[in-house]
Amino acid sequence: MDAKILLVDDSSTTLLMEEMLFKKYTKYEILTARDGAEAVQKALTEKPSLILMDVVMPKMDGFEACRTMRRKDQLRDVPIILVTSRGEPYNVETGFESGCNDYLTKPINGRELLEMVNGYLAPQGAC
Amino acid sequence: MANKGQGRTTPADKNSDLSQVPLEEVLESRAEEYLQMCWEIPTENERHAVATKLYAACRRLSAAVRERDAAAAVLEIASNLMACEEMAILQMKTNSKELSFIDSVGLSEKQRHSLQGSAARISAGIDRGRVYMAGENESGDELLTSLGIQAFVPLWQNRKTKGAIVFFNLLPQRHGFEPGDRELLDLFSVYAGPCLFNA
Repeated sequence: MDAKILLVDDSSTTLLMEEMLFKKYTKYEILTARDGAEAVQKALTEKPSLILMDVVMPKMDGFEACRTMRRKDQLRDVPIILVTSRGEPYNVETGFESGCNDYLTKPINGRELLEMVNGYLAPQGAC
Repeated sequence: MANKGQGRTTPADKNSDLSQVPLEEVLESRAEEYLQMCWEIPTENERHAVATKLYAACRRLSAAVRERDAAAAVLEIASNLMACEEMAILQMKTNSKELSFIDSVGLSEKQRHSLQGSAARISAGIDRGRVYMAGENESGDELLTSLGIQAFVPLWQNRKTKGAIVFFNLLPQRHGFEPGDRELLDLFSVYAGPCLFNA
């Protein structure tokens, strides 16, 4: 079965870019959410293989969503990559403290993104 | 994608073609062209990253035409694809050349005052119609440089400049502009004006 990725971002621009890259270069099934609260709900029901999540979002930010997911047994071991424009060391540190596995800063480089995700999921769905 | 140099099609030339076809269709068509480029270029190639960004920008602007949220779309695209979170979108009145803010994000009081205090010269910059990027300074760019503006994008509509997007500091992870940024700014110069001012 192909891996399932949950993309979480309130920016349509970033979602468009990520969806295009994954649909073209991988066989992963793609799910999306627009804020941290929706992401937690969707992660619990859909059980994704990996979560790619923005930090600055309405309702619940990426740090809080990450902490919430890590408190759930079903999501404790799901790789979470935070993708954000907040690349300052303080924010990176907060990201890892919240339980993320990796951290990418915007603007996204497609090749880096694919390599990082495939590093966690290959050979589940990478082309 | 346009290259810098001789024979380059200007934003005004490209903008003049927009009156014949619905804007949403034009943007979707450009998005398809960039998507095709993504398919043809290996991911290791720098041009792949550029084409990916331009694809996303065109699709987002196309959605903005439908949803009438062009200003928000421009700010969002720049934030996500250029890592700039200090910017303003200005509109210029055709006759009086008076400037007004359509939208902005992250501006300090100082930056806002500097734009307001230099309105006449900013308007002159809009009339010049040339995309400015820090580091590519030409004669006439001194004001923009002195205000700490990192990029300045005149917005064309119907072969006239009607406003500008002004970019101040990039986020700390960016150490200046990359080649693809120029193409994104050119894209804004051609298409953001019609998206903003036709709405």
